[in-house]
Amino acid sequence: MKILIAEDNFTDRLILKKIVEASGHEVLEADNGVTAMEVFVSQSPDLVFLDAIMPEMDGYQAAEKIKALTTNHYVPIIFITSLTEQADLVRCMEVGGDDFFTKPFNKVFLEAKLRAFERTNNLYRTIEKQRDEIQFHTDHMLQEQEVAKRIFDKIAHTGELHQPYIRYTASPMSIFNGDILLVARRPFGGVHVFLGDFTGHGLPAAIGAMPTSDIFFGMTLKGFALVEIIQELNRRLHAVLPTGFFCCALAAHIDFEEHNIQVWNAGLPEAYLMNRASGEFIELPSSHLPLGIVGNENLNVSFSIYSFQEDDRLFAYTDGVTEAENSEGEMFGQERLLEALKRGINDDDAFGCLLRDVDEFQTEPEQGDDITYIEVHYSTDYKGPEDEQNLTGELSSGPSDSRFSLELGPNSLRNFNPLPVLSQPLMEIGHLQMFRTQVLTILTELYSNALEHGVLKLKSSLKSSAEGFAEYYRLRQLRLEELEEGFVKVDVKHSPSDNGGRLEIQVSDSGEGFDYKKALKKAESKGYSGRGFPLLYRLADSVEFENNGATIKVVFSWSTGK
Amino acid sequence: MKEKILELKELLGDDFGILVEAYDVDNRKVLIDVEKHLSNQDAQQVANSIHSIKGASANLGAVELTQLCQAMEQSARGGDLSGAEEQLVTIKQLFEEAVTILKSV
Repeated sequence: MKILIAEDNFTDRLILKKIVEASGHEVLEADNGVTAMEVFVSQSPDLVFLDAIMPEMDGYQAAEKIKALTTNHYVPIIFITSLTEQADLVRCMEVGGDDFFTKPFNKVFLEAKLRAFERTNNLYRTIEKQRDEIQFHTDHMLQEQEVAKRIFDKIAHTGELHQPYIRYTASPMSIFNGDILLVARRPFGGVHVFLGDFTGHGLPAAIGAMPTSDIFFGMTLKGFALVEIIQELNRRLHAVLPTGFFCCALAAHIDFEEHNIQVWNAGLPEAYLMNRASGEFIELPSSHLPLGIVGNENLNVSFSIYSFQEDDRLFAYTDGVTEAENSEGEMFGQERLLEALKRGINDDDAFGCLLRDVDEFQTEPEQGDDITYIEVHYSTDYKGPEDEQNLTGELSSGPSDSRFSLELGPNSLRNFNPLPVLSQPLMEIGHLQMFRTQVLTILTELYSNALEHGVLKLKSSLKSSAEGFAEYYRLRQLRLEELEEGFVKVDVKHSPSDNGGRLEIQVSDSGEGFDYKKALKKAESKGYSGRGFPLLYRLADSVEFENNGATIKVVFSWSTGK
Repeated sequence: MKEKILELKELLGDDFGILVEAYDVDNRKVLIDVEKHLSNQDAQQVANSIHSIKGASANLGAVELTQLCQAMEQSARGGDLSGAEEQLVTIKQLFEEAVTILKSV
């Protein structure tokens, strides 16, 4: 060790120095407090002997200064003393002294003391080194988390959450507890809602948000159905997540035009459909395995269908809400949650009631780290997604003079959604992607008409009530499963024009056709409102029927106006 | 005292001569300081000076001298200089004896 001896009496200093040197240590000397401080600062000794009574600056003052300089670093101070007054000895300790060494000096005793302090010093150096390492790693980790949080914030709570028909709460750290909340507008109407809760905490929990968000938004935009999106999410998460990691999720497709909601709850707490007018609550319990646990061959993606009208609200949450604790360690619980929702629903403030109750319940805000919940209202001023406006590339680049056709037999009709495949080459055509919504809507309407009414012979009048819709959906499923013959054929042709292009889509099916004249008259009388043919009429330049209505030909001309 | 001094001589080796010289010269100066502070009736300074002699003497094993210094320091620290003149005479005597023994080793 490097040891500073501050003692004004030469003979005492000399004797002490000799003893310390004999023990194998290096000695620095000072004959008053001021010199002692100078040596201390410039030489950084490992241990200091201080005489209490010295000229210039006494040992008490020097000890205080040394301790103030070494808050992060342990340097023991041993007072050299022949003081016998108890008060003086106490004062030595109070100013920061660690030990005494009394005159007359005892060599054997001092050597033992130095060995003891050397052990302590080594221990302190180890701790200080470890502390610095921990500090370094902590700083590093916090910095990484901060960056990750910024990235995940953009991923985890995104999409259409700002829409007036949505209320949601996602606490700042919720993503680091694995919560993810996504809402996307479908290109041909309605919204997809996804609320997920990944197992675990921190980065491992957040990391699954990345593919989930990509798949959810990407596939929704390309026109995939929610069932296909869930299958793809499960496939990817099952492949990516390690054993023991999974994602409890609730996915819903809300169709504001058809007034219905399809819900799939896989491992999240019971969600609710609440009616503001009647105060009625429909429970939407989990009835499926969370995402990422089993392979797709064992995944059940059957939805529950409910009516979703003017006064209906969907409420879903992750278990952070019910597990929020108060100062006594008591959990908020589902009972309180349901009570708050029921208290607020008649004033259409179920969400607000719950928000206030949870806030009041939690005394320490840090505990509210993983609180995520969402309420979706029925909306009439729903708008489709905004189409891409920042386009790169040429107006008519890609397959702008092309035609392709696709014919689907019974097996394909049962298992395959052709809409993403059909729209994909079209979206490669120059600036046609500015009209993604219109193009996808036309394709969707034509295809589902051919499949459901033409091939499967389903009656659209069934869809007028929620019960009917469920029946319609059940029959659709049943008839598809039993389908043995039939086809849908799609022909697509695109040709470029001066500032846009012309798209011709012809869809034929194996059905008997229908009384399109009557259907058109009905649509005309209603001012072409709603889905189906009226929508086609609104979007397309022309709609032609052939083959008794079993073939429909639509022309869509587009131009960027430049 | 002799035993203690032999021990120090072994510890200090060639520096023992320096120690003896320093003890003699330094404390002789301090004793003059004590007289000066005494004439000024500065009790705290008397105590500080005697404290210094006390420490050095303790380390040399001069037990009687150390004890007398201790008594005088304690009185002076308490502001009492009544017996100081008398004590100082004895301290000087014991100091001379200590120096003589030191130099004879």
